[in-house]
Amino acid sequence: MRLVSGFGILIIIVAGIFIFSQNKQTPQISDFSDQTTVNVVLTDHGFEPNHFRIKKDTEIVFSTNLGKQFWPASNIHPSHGIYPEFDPKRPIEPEQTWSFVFNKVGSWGLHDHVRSYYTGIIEVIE
Amino acid sequence: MLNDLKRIGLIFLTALILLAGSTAIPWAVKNIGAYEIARSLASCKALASDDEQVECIFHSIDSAIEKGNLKQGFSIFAGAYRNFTSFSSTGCHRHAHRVGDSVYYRYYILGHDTLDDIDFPQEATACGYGLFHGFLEHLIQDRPDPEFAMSVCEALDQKLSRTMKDIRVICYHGTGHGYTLAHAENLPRALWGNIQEFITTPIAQCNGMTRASESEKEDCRQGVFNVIADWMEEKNYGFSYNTDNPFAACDALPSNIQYACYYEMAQKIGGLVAAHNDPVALSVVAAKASTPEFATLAFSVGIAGMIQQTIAQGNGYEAVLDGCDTLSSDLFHTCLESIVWGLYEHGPPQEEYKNVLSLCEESAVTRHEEESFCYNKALARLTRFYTSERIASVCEEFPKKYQPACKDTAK
Repeated sequence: MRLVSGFGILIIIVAGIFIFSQNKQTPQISDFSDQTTVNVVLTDHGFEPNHFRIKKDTEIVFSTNLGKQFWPASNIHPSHGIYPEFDPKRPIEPEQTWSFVFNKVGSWGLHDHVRSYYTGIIEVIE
Repeated sequence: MLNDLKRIGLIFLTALILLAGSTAIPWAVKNIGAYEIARSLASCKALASDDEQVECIFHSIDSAIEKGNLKQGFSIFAGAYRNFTSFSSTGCHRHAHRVGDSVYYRYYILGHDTLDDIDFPQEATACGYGLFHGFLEHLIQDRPDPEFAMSVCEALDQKLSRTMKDIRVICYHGTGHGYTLAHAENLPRALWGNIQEFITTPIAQCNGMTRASESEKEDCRQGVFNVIADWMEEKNYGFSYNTDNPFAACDALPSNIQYACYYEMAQKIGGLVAAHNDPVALSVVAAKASTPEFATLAFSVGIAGMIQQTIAQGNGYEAVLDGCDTLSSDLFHTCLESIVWGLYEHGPPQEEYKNVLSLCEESAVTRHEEESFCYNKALARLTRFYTSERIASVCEEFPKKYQPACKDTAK
């Protein structure tokens, strides 16, 4: 009886580890699908908003408050191949903005080409 | 009597449960981790393009890093290297840079602005220490101060050099990247494409690191030109790579920085000039160098660069070795050393040596009587990537004749 109980406890522990390992964090996605223009600001914490959903043909206006050049572009760094049109091909001066209209449906990873550790995801739906 | 038996039985049962638990729980954790990695990568296989697959793989890596599990991030990295040609053939060093970017952002910027809390696993040496290049280039880009850079390199040296022998050198190289990125942000567009304007300040910063040795300063200078060569390839900041004579820009520079310039320009020849990574074509380009020393350097570095392009094909070296086999004995000798180097720099994480051992057994190597040279070069790089425990086990796979020397490297 005790042997069975002991193995029962062991199985519960292993199952617990398994279930814990399956516990995935749900990413926080902002929904801007009702907007035609969305402003994205590069701050010292990265792109804000950082992960969001828009409808196709929405215009995204990129700016920064870092006081340094920035260069939003699609992944993969440095070739920007997943969405080549999403690339200003040059750094943007800190006081300027750069706009891009997303007309391809998909999930598009982005980064700052000047500081490639700043990343984000834009999900474009129909 | 009966109570004693019960007591013994209870102790025996408890011991059995503890034994079973101590075996089963680590087994379960390990296998669940492996299962999770395999499952997350399996979903990436279904994607159509190479770029989509790489993005998908990085989603898993970033997720592990975000959860504070850099070691698991590298397990995913290594799994992707083994199972996805889209990953291994598209610039393993670049991909490792990207891991370094994430580590810098998650653990340094969002952390406590200190290296002390970051636990770099041994796997961070993968793909030519690419993680550290990515991490350091941004760390220094954001703080381009030679005093700070030296303190970082000294701290990393103290923290990691016992198992990552080349961390200090790598640090100075990454520092050169960082100085260059920082300086470029201050240059007006009118100066784009002007190599002298882009390098003068970063080179001065490299030379100004008073506690760095001459060779560490040289590594820093190479880091400066590494960024410039990348920009030439990517056509950024008004630069473009001169495919007719890749060294023309270097020849116009002061002599004390030409070596660093040649070194980095040569890395790109395989991808941009010598068609199909052909060593014969490389030797023709290298011969355009201004001195025989630079020509040898360019050929040597160019071969290692080619291996980066061919690493995902077969054992990663066959076509390059065949090409080198048609060249002079001197060039074959240089070529062989560079293939060894390239296989270590761009090979599968923590298993880089395997393809090197295959290389040393090739008939072309035996025919040129370069077998001993090959194995000795293979031995010389072990401490760059592996712990002494790992080296001890790797040595078992070397031919008996080289095992004593191999084990000596682990001491």
